[in-house]
Amino acid sequence: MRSKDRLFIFLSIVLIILFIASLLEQMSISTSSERSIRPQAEDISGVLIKLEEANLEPQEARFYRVINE
Amino acid sequence: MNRVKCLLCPRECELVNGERGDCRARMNIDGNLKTLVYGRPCAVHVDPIEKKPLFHYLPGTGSFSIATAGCNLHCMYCQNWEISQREPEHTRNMVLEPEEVIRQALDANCRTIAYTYSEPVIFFEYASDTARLAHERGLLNVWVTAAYINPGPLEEAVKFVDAANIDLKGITDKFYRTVTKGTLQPVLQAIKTMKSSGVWVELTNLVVPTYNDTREDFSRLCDWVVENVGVEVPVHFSRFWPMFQLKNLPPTPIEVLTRARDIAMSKGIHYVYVGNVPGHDGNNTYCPVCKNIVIKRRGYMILEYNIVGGKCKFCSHAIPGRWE
Repeated sequence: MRSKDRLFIFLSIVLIILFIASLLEQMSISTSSERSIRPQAEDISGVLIKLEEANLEPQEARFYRVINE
Repeated sequence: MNRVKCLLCPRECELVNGERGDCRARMNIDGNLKTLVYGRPCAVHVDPIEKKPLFHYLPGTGSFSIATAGCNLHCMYCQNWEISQREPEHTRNMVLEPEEVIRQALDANCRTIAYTYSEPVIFFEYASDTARLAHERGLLNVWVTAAYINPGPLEEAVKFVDAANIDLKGITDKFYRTVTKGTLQPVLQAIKTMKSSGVWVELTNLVVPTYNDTREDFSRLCDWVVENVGVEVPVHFSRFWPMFQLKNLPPTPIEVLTRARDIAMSKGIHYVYVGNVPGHDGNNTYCPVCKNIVIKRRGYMILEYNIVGGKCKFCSHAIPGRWE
């Protein structure tokens, strides 16, 4: 195999790796963004402890409606 | 345990016990909706009011600026994502009750309190209690907001908000859904409501390359401004800087911002600014009648001031805003 061919194959492999890496990065961004939009229900006691540790004091909010189940 | 439905913003999140809203700042705790950020700002600074940006409102004064963690939009280019896209327990917060905000603002000789950086809508209770105290002590209240809010809370907010810089991020619903994860119509309605309620309103459009930077985008946005809030509402076209999920884009080319300004002025809008480009002609306020510079600025700094009694010093044309 000529050195020119070897160089061509090497560059092709590098480009393919870069392309796959960029695809994976895009997938990771979109996944994390969707996850960030709607944090799911959490274990309430654990959350309350975390809030207290962070020195947050939840206070009654306004503008909401209770949905009786 | 009861579910709750938050009615603060158009998302109207329905939350089971222990679940948070999209904003991360409100949570169903044992069947009651709680705000997690009351009295716990994660950013506190004294800024020139020009930084909001408000160019027609008490120019040259300091604005005591506060923000809490969280936001009800999720803009891909958010310039403050480190606080707006985080849970409040993951930011460094101060304990600063409303009384203390007022005391510190007065100590710093500020004329206004700005609710800014993240989104005042999501810390509504904290902002409204602080704002009422501010009025009692002779301070004015400024919201820097995306105005993604429901009509009921907004009706209450306009009672204590004196001035607002509102982000009109784009002029299509597609842009709002794609880039901000919100929707356009509530924002347009909120801008009209604030303006008609007597709040001093300035608008900001952050120009993002390839997303909202075409002639048609600028043209449609300016047409909406002229038809709905009038030519005297100042419009700021701001330069985008690569951030958060749009680091792959270049900063907005200056000629695009200049084009946006030219289009706005050709539509008849009197006060059109270019932001985040110090030294641009669009930093200045020009008298729409005699065309002289009535306020010369470099960035946030005022270099010349030619307004007397709210009027142009050269031709006595009234310049809208609050000057004294």
